[in-house]
Amino acid sequence: MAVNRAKVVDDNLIQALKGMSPRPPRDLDQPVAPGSSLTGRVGLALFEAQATARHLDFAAREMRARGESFYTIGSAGHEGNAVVGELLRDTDPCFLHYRSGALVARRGYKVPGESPIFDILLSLAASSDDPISGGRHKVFGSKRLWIPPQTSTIASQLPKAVGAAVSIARAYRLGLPCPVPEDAIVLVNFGDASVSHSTAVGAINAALWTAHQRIPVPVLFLCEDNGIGISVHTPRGYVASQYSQRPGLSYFYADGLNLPHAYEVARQAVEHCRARRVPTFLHMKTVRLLGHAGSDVETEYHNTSYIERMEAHDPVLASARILAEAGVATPGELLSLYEEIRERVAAGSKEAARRPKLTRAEDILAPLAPYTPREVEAEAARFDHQGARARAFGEKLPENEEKPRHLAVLINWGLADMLAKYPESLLFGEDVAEKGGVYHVTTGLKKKFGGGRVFNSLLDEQSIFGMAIGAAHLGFLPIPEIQYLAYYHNAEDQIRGEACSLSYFSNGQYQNGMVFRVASLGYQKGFGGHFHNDNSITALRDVPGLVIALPCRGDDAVGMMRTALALAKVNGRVVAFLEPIALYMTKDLYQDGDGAWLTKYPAPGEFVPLGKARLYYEGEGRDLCIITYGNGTLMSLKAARRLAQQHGIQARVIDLRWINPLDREAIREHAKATGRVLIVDEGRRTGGVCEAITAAMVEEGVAHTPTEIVAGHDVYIPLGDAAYKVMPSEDQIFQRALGMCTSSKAAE
Amino acid sequence: MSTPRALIVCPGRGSYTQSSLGYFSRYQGARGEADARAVISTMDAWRDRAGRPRVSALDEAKSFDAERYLRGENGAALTFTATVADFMAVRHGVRPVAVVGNSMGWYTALGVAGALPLEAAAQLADELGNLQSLGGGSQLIYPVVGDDWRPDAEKRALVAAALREAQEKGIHAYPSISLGGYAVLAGDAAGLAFLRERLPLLPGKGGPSYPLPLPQHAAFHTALMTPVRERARALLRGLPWRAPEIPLVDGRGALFRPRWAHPDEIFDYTLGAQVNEPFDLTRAVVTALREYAPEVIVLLGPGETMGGPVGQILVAEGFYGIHSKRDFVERQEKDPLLLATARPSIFSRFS
Repeated sequence: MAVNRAKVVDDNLIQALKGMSPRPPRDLDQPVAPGSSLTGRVGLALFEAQATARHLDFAAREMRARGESFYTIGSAGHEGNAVVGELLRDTDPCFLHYRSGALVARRGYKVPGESPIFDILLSLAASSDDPISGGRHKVFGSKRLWIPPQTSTIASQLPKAVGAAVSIARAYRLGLPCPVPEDAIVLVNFGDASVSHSTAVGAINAALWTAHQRIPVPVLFLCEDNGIGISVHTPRGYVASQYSQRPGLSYFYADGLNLPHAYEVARQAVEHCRARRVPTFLHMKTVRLLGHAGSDVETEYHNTSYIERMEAHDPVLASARILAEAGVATPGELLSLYEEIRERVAAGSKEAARRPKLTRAEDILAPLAPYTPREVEAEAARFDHQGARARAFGEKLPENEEKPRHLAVLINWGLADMLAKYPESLLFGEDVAEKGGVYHVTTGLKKKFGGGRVFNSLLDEQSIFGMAIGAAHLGFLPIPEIQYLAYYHNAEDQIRGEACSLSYFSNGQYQNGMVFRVASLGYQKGFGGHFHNDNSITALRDVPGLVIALPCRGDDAVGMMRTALALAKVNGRVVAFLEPIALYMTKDLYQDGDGAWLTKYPAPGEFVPLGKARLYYEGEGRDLCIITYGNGTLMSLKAARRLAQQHGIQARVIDLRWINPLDREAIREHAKATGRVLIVDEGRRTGGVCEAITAAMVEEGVAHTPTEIVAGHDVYIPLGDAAYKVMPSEDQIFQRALGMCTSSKAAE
Repeated sequence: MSTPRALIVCPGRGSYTQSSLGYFSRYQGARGEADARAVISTMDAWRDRAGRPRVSALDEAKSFDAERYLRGENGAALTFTATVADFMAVRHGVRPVAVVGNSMGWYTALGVAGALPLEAAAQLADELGNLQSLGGGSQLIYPVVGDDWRPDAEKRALVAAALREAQEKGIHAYPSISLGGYAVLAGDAAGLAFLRERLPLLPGKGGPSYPLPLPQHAAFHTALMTPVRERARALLRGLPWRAPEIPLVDGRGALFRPRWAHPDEIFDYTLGAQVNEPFDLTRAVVTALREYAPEVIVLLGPGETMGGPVGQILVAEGFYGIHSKRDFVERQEKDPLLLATARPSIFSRFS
């Protein structure tokens, strides 16, 4: 039978304390060891936090065995991180990994009214009373303690920590309200295996890239090095070899198995980070006890002697020994405390297990994507920034421009309008500042609003999103730009796993509303190519809670942008704002020089409601309904005109404008009204928008309507004219529509 | 059954009332009698030295002179003595895991938990009772729960709105104690008049009507007490403050642990925020429940008025599966959770 390592670790500590003799008592306010400022008093408080984390680990396993909990990944061996809990202020934001029990306990005990034991037990029990996630995940988190919950995606919390750190000084410099003091620092912790994850590498690089420009980046990277990631050992000395000499990075090494040492070094690191406002790397030695998680059978890859060797380094036992030998407490007192905590945790676990669970889908979903239409629309219509607009636009207000203009110009004006309306908004991305973006959509915005609000990022989309998420945590309204849709895909976990999950996993307590703009889709004349003309929307569509806006004309873009910012501001929503590259400069619709695709700037107060499509008619549009979006809208309109002129077929065209949520009502009504539906989807077909539309038709009860689909192939967009061969064309639309109308007419 | 892990609750000054006369005779024959009587003797001796009537003499009197008994220096001493003696009498029957105290009960809690020696804690309670006239004002109490003890958001909002309006108008009306299902409010005469006008009268159903004034209580835990705080700090800094022997949870929900709690922090809170900032008994009890998950809650002292607030806290928290007054009453009948020393039957439980 397998040995219960939890019991072994527990017994080791008990036996060691029983075998020790009391030492002469020491003044509790004196340091416990030479060279360390750790006093006996603080040492005892830290031991309590460490023992609390340990007993919570034991309880997780016991609750699991009783079928009362689901998650046993623990903090055993990492309890040295309690010192950081002691040394940080409760206004220093913390982005924590899953071995942070002792840190959280110590941080909690410093704030009156907090109850870390019970809070963690409720999280283990997945009870809806869990004060952070409401029973949605076992996470460390607290609104009051400034610990936004993190999911289990390795290292994904680092980019946002850097973003938050950079945002502190930015908020104060801009004179904006900031929820944390000016000298706050941001903590993020992670393991030695995670440090090799590209997200960690990128985030640390982003911090250094920023700090290199003498911009304050008060982030404390706490790397808890237990030497192993599940079963794979980190090469000995690797972490130090990579980070101890890294230019721009202040490096501290702490022995997390030795409380006085860990405390002293962590104190220096925290003070350094706080005073110098520079990226600081606190490398803390830890061990991993009790395997990776309860389900991990460590004997499959380690022999018993290795496991026992690690157990001999138990930091909780080490702390007990140090405190007892220093005369801070007798071994008996420490053992009593240890047992008292066991009892408290056991009693609390019984109470936690009987607390309610989430039982209804609507309750589970409630915090995922909050939407209060009345407030959002009032906010979108709000127009009280005349002064800031006048400063941004001068005497020439865009709504007074006589001449209609193309999409790129209107987006540029719209962004200026939003930057004027929301002083807390930030616009950043690759090349957006002086250059004004690769398509000049952000031209002049830096000049208008200054480098504090409109700035270039480094070439790393994960860091761009991390900046956005971190800034949003601190009250900013970020408008990051991703240069091309293909670049979104290499950073999408920051949206999928992080930004869109924050409200959900914090039960609505934390939000990171933002509108990220992406130059998107194909049909760019004389260009094409996968990287610059990617047409994959699918990966965005299945991100829970993500709103997807996809305007194809200037006035819509402005009206939708107003709604998008309002959604981010009022409901903390994350909005993807996809801008069709090929339409940025498009002026004409039916023939060269007709200027039919130019629009005037919508008057302040006008907006496009979320999920509301736009309708176009040829005649009465009685014969066919074409449902489309983006470039498909223009092609469909052209095809519809030809159908009318050449065959007397009257089509109506629905430009969805919002890909999520879809205008299901419009889909249903117009399918019914025409009896024929042609879906034109320029994206990839599999899992594409066309499938969402057909599913909506089924659910809306119009599945019987004859329906055909013209969609992009499941392929990477090739270069040049070849691109047109794999995406819908006007001619395809025309032919398919014609076929539908003539064949069914013949059948009649 | 093993000795139950108990949360100890020390009541405020209103615990000793007319019906409490002769309470000290309760200790005859109880298991902890010797300890309880020792407390009374200690207190009598201390009262002798202070030139004040003995607590035992007050307790043995034939009639209850409200003006005399409810006055700070006597009311506090009687409640304090009875509470500590109760603790001595029952402590062998339960395992105290944490101690909380309401308002003046915090001073008793310091004594019970060992953060001050008994006489020093008594002196603290006594001095604060004497000093209350420096602050003046008075208190009233108003329910913020329904008849089923479930939180009533509307009543809570009414109280909050009245306090907000008072603040805006510069009227001295303040939150004083969050007492489970009751808001204790305080202020000067004008402030209380304002509150009585703003808070709708709730006729008592066989009990008192609300808002209910609390006679002989000053505007504790409000800004009006700031002069008391300064005076008390100067007067009582020299008491032998020390870490408690049983964990203490204060009126903010902060924990003071045996061994490592810093005496300065206990002093700072006790004669700082505790005096002139709102006292949150609800938070204290909730924190104690959550951190210690006791098996029973022992309500010390001769009165039972704290039973309701503690039950209401359990309901609001859903602790022990209690979600309404009915749940609480049923639990009390089946397997009592809240043990009040004012009920003589409790002593049989512990003997």
